[in-house]
Amino acid sequence: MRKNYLKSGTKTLQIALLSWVASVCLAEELLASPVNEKEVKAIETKSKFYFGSLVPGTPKSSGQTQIVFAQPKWYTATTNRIVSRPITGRVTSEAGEPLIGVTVVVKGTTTGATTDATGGFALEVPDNGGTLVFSYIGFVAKEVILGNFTTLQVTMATDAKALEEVVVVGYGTESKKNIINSVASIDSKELENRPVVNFQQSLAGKVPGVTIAQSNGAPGGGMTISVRGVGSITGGTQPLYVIDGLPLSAGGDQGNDNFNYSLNPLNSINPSDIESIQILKDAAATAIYGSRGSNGVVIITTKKGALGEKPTISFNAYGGVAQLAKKVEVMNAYEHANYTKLARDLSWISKNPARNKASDPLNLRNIDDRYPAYMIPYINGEAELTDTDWQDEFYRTGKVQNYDLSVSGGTAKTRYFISANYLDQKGIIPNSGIEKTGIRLNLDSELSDKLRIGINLNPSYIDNNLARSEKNWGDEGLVIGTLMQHPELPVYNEDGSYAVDKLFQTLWSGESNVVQFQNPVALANLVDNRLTQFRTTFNGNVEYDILNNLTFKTAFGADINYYERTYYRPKSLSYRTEPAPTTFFNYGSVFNSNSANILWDNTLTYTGSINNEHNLNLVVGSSMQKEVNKDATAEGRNFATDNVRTINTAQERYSSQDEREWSLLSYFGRASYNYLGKYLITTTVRADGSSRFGSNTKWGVFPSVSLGWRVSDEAFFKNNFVNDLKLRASYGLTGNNDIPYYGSIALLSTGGKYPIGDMVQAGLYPSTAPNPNLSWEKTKTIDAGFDFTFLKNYTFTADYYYSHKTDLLLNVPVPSASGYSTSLQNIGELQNQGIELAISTDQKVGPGDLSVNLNFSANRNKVLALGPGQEQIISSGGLSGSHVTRIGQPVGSFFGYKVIGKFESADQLAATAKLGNQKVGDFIYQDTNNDKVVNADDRVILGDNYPDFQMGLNLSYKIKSFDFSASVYTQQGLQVINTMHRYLAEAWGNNLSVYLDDDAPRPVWGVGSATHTRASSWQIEDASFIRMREIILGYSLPNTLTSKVHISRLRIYASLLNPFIWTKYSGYNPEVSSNYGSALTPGEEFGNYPVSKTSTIGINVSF
Amino acid sequence: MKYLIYITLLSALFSCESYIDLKPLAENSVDNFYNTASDLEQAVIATYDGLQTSVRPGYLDHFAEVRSDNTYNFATTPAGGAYADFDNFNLTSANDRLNVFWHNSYLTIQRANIVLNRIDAITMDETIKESRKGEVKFIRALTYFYLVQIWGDVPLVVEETTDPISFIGQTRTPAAEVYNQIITDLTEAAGELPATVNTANDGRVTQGAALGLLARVYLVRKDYQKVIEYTNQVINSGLYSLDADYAGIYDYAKKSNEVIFKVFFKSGTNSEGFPYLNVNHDYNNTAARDFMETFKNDPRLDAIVDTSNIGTYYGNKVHNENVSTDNTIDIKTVILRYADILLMKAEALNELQYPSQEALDLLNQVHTRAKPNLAFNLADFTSKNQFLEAILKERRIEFAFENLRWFDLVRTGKALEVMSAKNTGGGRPNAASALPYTISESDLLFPIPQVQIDASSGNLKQNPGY
Repeated sequence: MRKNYLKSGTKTLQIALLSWVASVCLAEELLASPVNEKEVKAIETKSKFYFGSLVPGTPKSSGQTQIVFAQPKWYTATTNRIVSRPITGRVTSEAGEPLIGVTVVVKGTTTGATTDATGGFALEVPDNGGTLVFSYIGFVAKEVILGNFTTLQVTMATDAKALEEVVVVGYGTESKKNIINSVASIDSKELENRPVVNFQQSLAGKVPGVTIAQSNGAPGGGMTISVRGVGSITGGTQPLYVIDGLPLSAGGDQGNDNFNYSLNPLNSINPSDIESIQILKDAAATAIYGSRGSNGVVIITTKKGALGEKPTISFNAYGGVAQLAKKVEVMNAYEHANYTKLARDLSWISKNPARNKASDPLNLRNIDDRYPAYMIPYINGEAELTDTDWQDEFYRTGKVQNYDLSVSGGTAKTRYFISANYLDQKGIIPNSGIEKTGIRLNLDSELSDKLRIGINLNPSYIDNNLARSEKNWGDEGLVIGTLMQHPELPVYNEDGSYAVDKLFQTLWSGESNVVQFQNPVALANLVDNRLTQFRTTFNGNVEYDILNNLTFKTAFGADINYYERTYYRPKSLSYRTEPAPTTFFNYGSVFNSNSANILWDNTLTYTGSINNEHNLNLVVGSSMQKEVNKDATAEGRNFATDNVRTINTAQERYSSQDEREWSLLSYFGRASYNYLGKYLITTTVRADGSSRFGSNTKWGVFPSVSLGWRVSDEAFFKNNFVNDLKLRASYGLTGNNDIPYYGSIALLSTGGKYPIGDMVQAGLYPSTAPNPNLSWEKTKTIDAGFDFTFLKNYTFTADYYYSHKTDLLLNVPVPSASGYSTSLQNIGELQNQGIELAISTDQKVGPGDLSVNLNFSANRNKVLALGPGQEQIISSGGLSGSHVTRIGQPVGSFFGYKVIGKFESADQLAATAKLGNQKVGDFIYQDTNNDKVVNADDRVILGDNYPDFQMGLNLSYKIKSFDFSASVYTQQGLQVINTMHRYLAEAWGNNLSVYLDDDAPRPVWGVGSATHTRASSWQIEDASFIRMREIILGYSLPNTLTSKVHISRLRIYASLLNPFIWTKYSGYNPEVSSNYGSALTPGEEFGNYPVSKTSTIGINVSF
Repeated sequence: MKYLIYITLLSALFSCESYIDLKPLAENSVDNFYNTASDLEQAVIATYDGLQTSVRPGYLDHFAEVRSDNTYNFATTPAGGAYADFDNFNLTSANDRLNVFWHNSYLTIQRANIVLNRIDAITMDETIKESRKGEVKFIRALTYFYLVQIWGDVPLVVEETTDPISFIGQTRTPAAEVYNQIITDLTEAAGELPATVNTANDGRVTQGAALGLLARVYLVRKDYQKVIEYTNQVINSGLYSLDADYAGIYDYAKKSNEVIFKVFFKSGTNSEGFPYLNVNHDYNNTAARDFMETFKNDPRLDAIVDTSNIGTYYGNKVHNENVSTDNTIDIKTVILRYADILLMKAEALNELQYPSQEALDLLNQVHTRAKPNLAFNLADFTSKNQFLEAILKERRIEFAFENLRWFDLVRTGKALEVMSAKNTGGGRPNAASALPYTISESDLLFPIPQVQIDASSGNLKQNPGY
């Protein structure tokens, strides 16, 4: 909760205003009838006028004690003359720290004040005594009988019940105390002031059961997020994001395939605007979102002002630098030249072992068996030659700067939060970065005592400079290409221009067949590749109290998203098959996409209680949501010049257009009942009709039930150790409708053209198979857990869950004899089960406040069923057949041959089962089925990308003016397939240094040869890691100093993001995943944008 | 206010079902297509397109040429390679090129099946309707003919697929049944197809193609009487003749009376051209040393290979120097031509009635076009087999790079003998391949792609030896 920094200077005005509003309110009623005490009371109950400023920032529905303003003495006071006198005082916490913004009211009157920055207050009190009421969020309200005091020293105690936070659940809120589902909450403190583009990056390691991998380091790049294990095989695996009640669509086309990494659609949300995040994990919690609930739901609530709060202006800024966190070891120029010579010589000899010798001159050999002339001085051992470390030359120091400015506050009936944000992050790859600008307006107002309106408006603009990092060399992937560059070559010519084309010329001239990759520094800097996004999310709602405890709410939401993607490869830059000035590879494209996601929700909420024993909350509602995506692409080749890069100047132009839509119609309800807060039950049900489902299966119904028992409230359980113990269990059915838009319909492709009569004619053929029974994926989850508070400030939460997923959508490989290669079927089954533990404490340690949160989770994923008679699905990432999804094993396990050594001699080669025409120096693949033949049947599962367990430790310590926080997380027992071996192994480009080791296979020259590059245990590495995620040290200037310049808070801080990682993995990043979002091929490193380490300093100021 | 809210509430509860009934906006679907003559024409075009994907350079030629003694894979590395393994008899079922060909072939068959399933319900010109049926039957038959020669028994599918999942249980159909279907399709097509088409329809299948292919099928089935029957029908039609200019047969710009059926690739901006390779030549399919040694003096050699590049003899028949702005070229791949009709008839006559002057005359028609003064005499041959050898040798050079050689070797039972004699690899004068190899009976059929066996859950069984 935000603190209210009201200063005494405004109290007069405020009280006057409130008094006036209140008096008008009452006066209308009073004038209508004769006055007596009883009637006034009756009016109070009916009109329920809330003195908002006494409960800053608290929504009405939160269940907080509301202070009813009018009292019987109100009107009698007008007839009695009151004699008053001044009083001053100071309010502190038990620790002796001044409490700012405490409301002080003379009991039974409107007379009041708010404490200032030093905790002091001054007000006029009735001379004839009375009582002062002190109230402050998070503290026990205190009453002090005035007597004859003229100064007061008041100490307020923290309120344990303040832990009764309100948790936002779907279509309503619930007191945290009564939550009987698995819901994790993150508050704003853990999201602000981090040098990250999106909030998800700050969640890593903070929530048990939620795996958030920094799978690539591109500014604005997507995250791989899974809640409780991988939730689908081919359908979506991302949780549903709901921001201020608006379910966002997570996907969206981002233009033609010039990079593999997906941009994060949530970049438009400014992390500093977020008040809290709730992650709904179990099916009982997510079933209210029905067919979109099975991957978990992330509910984001943005900040609001507080009624009656004086405007608070906050300004936050930080700036920092980022560096490549880790380098990959490749050969230096001397190693590389000698290795290349060796490989080419061996290749030449093998062509005719009887005749060919290593000493044969290069001009006798064919191009493949020659090495470039520029390697000869290195082979001869000449000293001081060019030895370029391309990683050093390519990666630069990234820079980040961020500014947030916000104003929040409220009047008696209206509260507001307005913010503006600017972020500029330059990535470590040249010419990559992101610039974001966003504005948010959150406004709520009570139009009458029965009618409330609210709006959230968040326009944002993102300009993203993209780097084509994730592709292989042939597609000009920069990361792989940089590693493959020959270290014998310089980056720049002597005149400072880029040294380009050297490798191309080596090939074109017939000198040697070498990797045809342009100088990556030139390529990164000279190619334009950018995406701009303008997105506006809007949410407006109207709430009307039909009865006292029956509220109708209608909400209209819209998410309007516009992308523009542009790409230009200049004429002046040679392509490997075309020297500059290029014509065909002088290519430009522009892609425009706009989508409108429109939502209309209606809910009726009833809250009732009988004698405070039987408490009931009911919600019923309907929801309609529809999204339309439209995009158009224009491409051009052979532009007139590089000066003008718009498609109209291209000689050859192509264009295309696409349009698609989905809709969802839903009815839902929830009933929560508890008896004395001791026995709790919640049931929900949702019916979803979706356009994506087949004609036979349009509607799905998703029920859930949760039970809770607060054992600690039972008389027999009372003890001093346990403060609160709640047992809970739930069961729910949810769905995953993230399936193709038109997956149930056999679509036709226009790719069937053919020339007849020398004219190309149009031809259409079915490209997808029909399936009228196509439906959502189903998940049944049971969850059992408890929430435990002991020794006052320790909390422990534990959960066990088992989820069984059925009807998983599989593109079941079907024999091609059917005319299709795959058929989309609801056919797979898998299970996830796991445990989640979290322990946290907030307590005084010495003079400071320590807060520690330790979480642990472990998930086991297992495939239970695939297609009919199907035992496994073999999938390929960068290497053919590198992954298998097999019954009884985790989805997307690594698959391949098991390397058990290498052939050391001809005798050994002759005596050992081998694959094809293997030679001495090749890997020995294990004959795993002992049939004396090594073939495809000997491939085995070699590991998987799922950790055995993950842990996160987050701590913060505040002492006097200093604050320190740190966060570390670990994943243990996971593997990664390092597909960089595919190209960095063949004496063509540069090679990984590991090929110089004794256990490395013989040097083989042959592009695409399968000798080293079959998927095998050779490429699978242990990727367990411990990552220090962040360290932040802050210092707040003393209030005594800042208050003089009307600053209520001034904090400076320094932070480190990703400063350390401990891992045995040899690639850039053990959290890597090249095949974004594909559950079939997880955990592959194939040129991903490396993750950087960032150091920042920043400042927070509040006025 | 209240009423407004109640109205909102009611309207929300009674939203209409059509809200969630959305049809594709940017694609046609099977549900709304195949209604008009124009729709059907496009389905037919898609069937031709399917054929393009299997006979295009880089696909069929690995089975039919690289495998044989005609060509080899110049790009072979010491470890082989996906293309090179065809050349070096080192194929495994995992080789992706196998699967690509299998897959593309069945996609073509499916497109033909769709046309045949839908065409009767469509109102269109009856003559055109007949012709279209014949065209796709020919394409289906040709595709099955390649499949059955490459793999032996293969799944036979002649209906439009409605439930792809049911194919998981599909097994291989005996080759004899597949041949029966091929013959049925071609016989029906021969009755349905027009003898000729106008310029605007150039490229469509005609009756001669169906008859000629029937002859080729019967040649494989060793039903020589039928070969003579159908070659005669083609010859007697009078529509075809040998082209005086051998190189001109392959010139995209020229229309040759010799060509009976060909598949076109047209460059331009509609993705129909053939990709212009690095040096406009396919180094995966270059003339083998043995081929060059055998035919070094043959006048046809320059039309067949680029002899200017000593040591690397790229194929010339699908060659074109005119590169379009989309980096593609126009080419035509010849599937069936008159010279083949003549030589097939000669072969059948020889089998039935050696010695045959008619067979000799047919052979000489083709032979003397290339070598006008070097006609064969009956006295040159002492046995039926020797005459057959002469025909095969003539076919080898005449149809080099036209995807017939391997199938000729297999159907005449000479593959093992011929290939074993040329297995030394590398630059030896008689080498048929880049690397040394051994060949056995099981190499006469190719391995069923592992992907297909896996997709069928093992219901498709592998050929022996793999």
